[in-house]
Amino acid sequence: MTETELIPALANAPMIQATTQPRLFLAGSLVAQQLLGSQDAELLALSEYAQYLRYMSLVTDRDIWADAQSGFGNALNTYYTVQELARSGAAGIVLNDQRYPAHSQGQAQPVSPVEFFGKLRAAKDALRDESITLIAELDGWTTYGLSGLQERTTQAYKAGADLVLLGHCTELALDQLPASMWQAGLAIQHTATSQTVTQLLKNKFKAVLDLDYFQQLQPKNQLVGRQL
Amino acid sequence: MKKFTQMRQQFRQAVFGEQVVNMVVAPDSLAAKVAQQQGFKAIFAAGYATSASNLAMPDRGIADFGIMLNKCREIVNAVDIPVFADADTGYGDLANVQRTVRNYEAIGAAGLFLEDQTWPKRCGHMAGKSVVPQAEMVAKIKTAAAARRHDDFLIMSRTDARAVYDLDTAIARSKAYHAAGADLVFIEAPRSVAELKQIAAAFPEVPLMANMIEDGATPLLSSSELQQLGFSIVVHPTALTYAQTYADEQVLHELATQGTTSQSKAAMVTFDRFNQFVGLDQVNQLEARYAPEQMLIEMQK
Repeated sequence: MTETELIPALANAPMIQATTQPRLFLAGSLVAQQLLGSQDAELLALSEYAQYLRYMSLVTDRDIWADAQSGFGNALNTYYTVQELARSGAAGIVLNDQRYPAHSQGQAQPVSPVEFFGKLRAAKDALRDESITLIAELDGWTTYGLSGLQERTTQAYKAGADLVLLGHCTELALDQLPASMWQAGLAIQHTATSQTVTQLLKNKFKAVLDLDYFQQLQPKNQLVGRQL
Repeated sequence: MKKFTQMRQQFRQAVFGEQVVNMVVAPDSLAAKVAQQQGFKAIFAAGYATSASNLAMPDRGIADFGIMLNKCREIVNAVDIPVFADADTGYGDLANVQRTVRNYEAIGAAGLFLEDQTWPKRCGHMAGKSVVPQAEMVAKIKTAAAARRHDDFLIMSRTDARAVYDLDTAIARSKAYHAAGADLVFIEAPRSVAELKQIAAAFPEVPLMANMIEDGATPLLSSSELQQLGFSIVVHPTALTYAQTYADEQVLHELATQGTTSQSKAAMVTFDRFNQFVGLDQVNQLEARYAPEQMLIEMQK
């Protein structure tokens, strides 16, 4: 079992420079927070987020995973969304199965399995020969349960996803997940509330996207600021 | 900003005035400046032309909020006549509609329209459209009207229900949208003069817009004909896009095959005339005003 990789979620250049992690996640909710004062991710349009990503991708040579949200519409929009994120410097693209607009707040409303399959297939087609990781983010655990999660994981890999990411699953009893799902490879979105769970199951995940990474660091940064 | 206030007031007066407001969609700020020079009283910034000029793509919901807003901002900044905006579906749910209205108001648009299509949308004269339930659109119009900071920032409702259902449904929906707070009404793609008359008869008190799209579903009428029918606003969304493409083809054919522009040159605007049109003299004068010699004089005063 390889060690779980910690991927910090971040939203600006100083954050990129403050961590040495090899892979970074430009979280849509944090960018929305940065630009709009609201963590409402799909309040931001793709063109706005992609422009921001182009700035960030020139700050570092490390891999940045981009947040494709729900694809900003249907499979057609997803195709062009992924294409735009790819040419804006994304090394990985995270596509969630929420209904558009995906606001990432409260309970996520998932689209149907067939609609998400279509979006993933469109995303895969848009990436063509690019060596860009496609991450399927499954956010509807509370709606479709373990069986839905299993089915969507299988279908996500079939549609062309390189990795499945479990999101919005703070209450999830992850130890119930069957061995087959762990073997297929999973990442998880980490929030403060799910910290214990993720610690317990740390090395079963391929990666943890840490949405609170900089919230945890903030007190230290403030201390450094005072000393200066 | 004072300019924005003036533009909103001008547009409101024009729309509620006696004369029909003849608007052209400008694919870019240069085209908008030409329209202003030719005496147009208002400009439209809209999806068909922006999808074409920014993306070279069809009007199918790929040009998003950011692209559309930025295009409108460029046009507002280039002219002094009011600019009305096509805001498609409001780019999401009610939270997006609110952000859309606040942003268009902030960049100085005179108003915007919201349509009841599903996302990704289609040009109103394309096949395969679908619409959201009426109540969903009513909520968007209410949200839009409540989100604006100025009452003279006009909200227009657009319905695409004529193609999906029938004209009666389109009229009934538009009445609900008007009751929800739409100042102006636009029923997209009526198919005959009789349908245009039916729309006008249904809204005797509300300013109506007609869309004159070359080769579209609606018969092409002149602005004065539409005014006589009872329409307050006419928009020409594709004329400049098609004309620009035509001009590009003509010039580039010669350039590609002959290696020169000597034939086309006769039809072109000249170097001097163009520089004058885009205000080279004013830019040069502005720079000269702050020249060191001038500033030394000011400093010694």
